[in-house]
Amino acid sequence: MTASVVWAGAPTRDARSAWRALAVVWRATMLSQWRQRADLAAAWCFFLVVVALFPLAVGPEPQLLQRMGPGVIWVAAVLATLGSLPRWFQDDWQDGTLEQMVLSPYPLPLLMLVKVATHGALALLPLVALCPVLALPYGLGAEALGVLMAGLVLGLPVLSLLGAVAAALVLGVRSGAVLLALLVLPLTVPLLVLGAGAVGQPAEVVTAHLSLMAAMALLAVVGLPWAVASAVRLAVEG
Amino acid sequence: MLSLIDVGLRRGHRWLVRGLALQVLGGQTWQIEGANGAGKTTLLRALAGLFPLGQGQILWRGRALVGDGWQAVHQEMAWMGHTPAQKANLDAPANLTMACALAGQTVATSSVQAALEGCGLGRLARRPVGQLSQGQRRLAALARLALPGAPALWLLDEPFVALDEKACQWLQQLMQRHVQGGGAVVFTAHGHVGEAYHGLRRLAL
Repeated sequence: MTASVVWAGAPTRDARSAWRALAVVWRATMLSQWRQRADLAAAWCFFLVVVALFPLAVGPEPQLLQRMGPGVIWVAAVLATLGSLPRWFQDDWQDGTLEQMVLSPYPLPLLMLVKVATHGALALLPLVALCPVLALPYGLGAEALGVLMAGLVLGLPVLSLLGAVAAALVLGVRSGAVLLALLVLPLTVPLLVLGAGAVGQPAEVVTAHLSLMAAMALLAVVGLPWAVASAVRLAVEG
Repeated sequence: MLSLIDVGLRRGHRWLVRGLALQVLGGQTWQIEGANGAGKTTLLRALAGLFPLGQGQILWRGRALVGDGWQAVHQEMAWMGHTPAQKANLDAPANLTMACALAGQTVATSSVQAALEGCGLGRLARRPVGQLSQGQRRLAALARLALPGAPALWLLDEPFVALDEKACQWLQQLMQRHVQGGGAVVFTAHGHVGEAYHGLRRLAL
């Protein structure tokens, strides 16, 4: 026997309220992370410093630097991305926000996608924006720079989502950051090969590489939020 | 509202609770009490669907809860864990708005302000909650329950911890009003929190 109380205050779950909820989560996460921008700046500076150090260490050989440049920028971007990502989940896990997200009537994968998107906007876009400056010491031309940046724009979201799955899996694990790197770095190989390899190639090769990366990005955006959501459920229900 | 049939909860090989039957009806307040480690929080988490049942089942309005069934419940349920789910660097209204948005509860800015003033935080509302005391942070989170359109079932984990006398009274009145309106409250607490509480039911683990 269960009491059938008709509850007048039950919220409606139409699409408009879902969009509004996602927008509120987006705004709150952006604001909260922006207020800890010292941590964000650490990731940007890491990227900047690593890329700037290589020419000093290798020596002023224009041809060698030009060959190395895209690869160095890619590897540094991958490491900077993975370095900044764990905090996005760790904080929310500790303060109970992830719990509330799991209990939300809205689909958890969508909430996770919004969360990862804020990471993209705050942690990854600045890395791409820094590329024109960093291309100077390597003597990359405008065309090479364009291909490099296009590759990063397509590749970093995939990386961010892969990293998010791993970051959610290692929640509550000691030395999770190391485990995260070990889990994700092997999976970045295709992105590195395609992204760095496209720079300086003939147009048709560039198109092929970027198309493949775009396909990966689409697959990641459609598929990986579900994996992130499952991993978060595991962490919260543990 | 919520019925538990032969529910068992297990941590590893140890059973915390076994063969528990409980009916939570609209208009009732339940206090789960027990010693440290007796499984109060775990039981509450299980009621919220945050902890898998070792045996038995939970019915919501007569229907068994499995898989997607939980989504309908979550819409009508407010959960407050022992961490108040707040971003330390956002102020109380921003935190409340986010909590409501996640719970699918639409609220006006004016009612958020009114709720905060109701629990005595009106003055501090512009500060990041990280600068508030433990009790004030908890109050700021509990203020969500005072908003119009609060869900029917409240699951509160140790809601009275860190609250001063005035705040405890405020929360008790809020709970009392809620159950009088046909809602239900299940909370965990040590000892005799609700001496003055009218119609409190206790479940000892």
